[in-house]
Amino acid sequence: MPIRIVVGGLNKDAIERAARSAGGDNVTVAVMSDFEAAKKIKQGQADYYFGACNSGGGAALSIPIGILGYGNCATVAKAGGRPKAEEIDKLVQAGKIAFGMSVEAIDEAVPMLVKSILKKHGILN
Amino acid sequence: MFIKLGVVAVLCALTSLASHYGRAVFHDGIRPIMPEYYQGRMKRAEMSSVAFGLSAGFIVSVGFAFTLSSNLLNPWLLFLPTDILGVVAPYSWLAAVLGAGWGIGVTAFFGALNTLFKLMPVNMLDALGALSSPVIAGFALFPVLAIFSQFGWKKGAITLVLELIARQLAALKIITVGGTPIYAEALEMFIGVIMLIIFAISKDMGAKDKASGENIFEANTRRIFNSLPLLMVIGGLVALISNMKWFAGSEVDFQLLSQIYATGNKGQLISVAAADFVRGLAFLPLIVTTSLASGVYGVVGLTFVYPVGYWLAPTLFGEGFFGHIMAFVLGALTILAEVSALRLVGVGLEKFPSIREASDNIRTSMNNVLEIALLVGSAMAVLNMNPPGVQGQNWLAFAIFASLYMINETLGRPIIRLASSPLAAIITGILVNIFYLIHLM
Repeated sequence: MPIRIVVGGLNKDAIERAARSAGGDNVTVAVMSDFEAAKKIKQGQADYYFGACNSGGGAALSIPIGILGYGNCATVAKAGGRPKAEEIDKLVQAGKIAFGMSVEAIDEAVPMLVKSILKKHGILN
Repeated sequence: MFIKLGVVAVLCALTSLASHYGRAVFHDGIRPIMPEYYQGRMKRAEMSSVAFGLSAGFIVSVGFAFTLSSNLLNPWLLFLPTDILGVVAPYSWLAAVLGAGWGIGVTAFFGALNTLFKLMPVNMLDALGALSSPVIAGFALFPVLAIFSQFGWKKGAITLVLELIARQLAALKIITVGGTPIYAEALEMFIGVIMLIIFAISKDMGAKDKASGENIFEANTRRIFNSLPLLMVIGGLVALISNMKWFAGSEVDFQLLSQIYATGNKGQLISVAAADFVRGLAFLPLIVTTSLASGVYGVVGLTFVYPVGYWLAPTLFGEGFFGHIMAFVLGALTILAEVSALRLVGVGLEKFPSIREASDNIRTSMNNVLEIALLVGSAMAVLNMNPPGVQGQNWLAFAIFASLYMINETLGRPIIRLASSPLAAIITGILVNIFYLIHLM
């Protein structure tokens, strides 16, 4: 079964495109409001949440943090920083399910996230 | 200057305390994490490092760039640091002292820097006025962009046509309010926002999804209500410093306000206020839901205190001492009204998820257009950076500016785009002066 990714926050289209092209048939990507997206995950209708905003932690993650709890969320690229593949790997392995990033970092961070997630679920080596 | 330092010091001390007690923070990303901290699940050190990590890039890029280019203080410069200081300080008195210290230090520092810039042979401050490019004209089209991406091209096209017609009807004074002309962009924006709301609500009418989280929302609303005295004083002071022309609250208004204060062209204030009001609406869903989910409010509320301070108060009560007092009062009342309506707005937002999504789309398009407006405006500004007596366009400055911008891009944008163009323009101004002083220009 493909991994179900939901997208909220700013620049949703960019994240959607990046996730589709990185994950291909192994993922389904749905765009919605952060509130709906977080609720979908809570109800088990989706697996992972991606979101972006200017800082990587504001509009990107604030609602998922409220609904899913801080422990399930992580910012993978803050404003002024770049995403690191090893760190993302660690966060995914640690069981985080909602990821925030700065708008600037979408093109770099989303493929890394998708790769790590597919690896974790044994779909990709 | 002493009054300014004093007011800013008190304001920053209070916002630092608000963060210390977990009552209000400026950063929308720190707000939902605050309960972890004030309910004791997260240690002070960890919370401090989270707050610092989320904010540091913003303080240095947006905070510095906007204040350097406009000579007006901004919330990223004042309140992101006080978010952090309030959390870092183990005692409340220390939080207040650190906050006040930051407010005084940063106001004095940027004041001195501005004086220094004025003394340079190649005048860069006047040139930076060009930064206030047609931001309003672009901003008025955000609803159209948002409708395009959320509801498809047909509805987008209809809105675009309606907006442009409304714009011209106002511009040609065919539509007026009792004979008073309406600002074309204000009406244009208003039409777009109304269309967006209609589309969103009619889409949500069909889908029925019962609201959840009622109980936490109830308790959190009460918590915010109890913070009201502190929040109202802070809101009043923010309105006051906007009213005193010391402060610009948003990425939409900072260059425009700086330009208006320099030229005295007050007629434009209403367009800026309209733009800020709509920007406030775009941020409203995020601030309301994070507040209801956390019991922590925003130090500037729903950001409506900015236009209340620089536009509403002087319009109603004039610009004298009484006007300043009333700016404070109106600012405080604005916060009171916002907090009273909070629960109601929250319920409304849960019923209409499309409005939340629309706000994300508006903010995305807002960022995109402002990035372009600031890039073009900054490029225009550096072309005008000439030594005394020289006319024409300074292409050396443009070359420096372009290289700085591209360096930031290639390095993976350590400075976010919104801030990178104004910051590049300022650094260009300094470098051009150096070229002039060593006789290479």
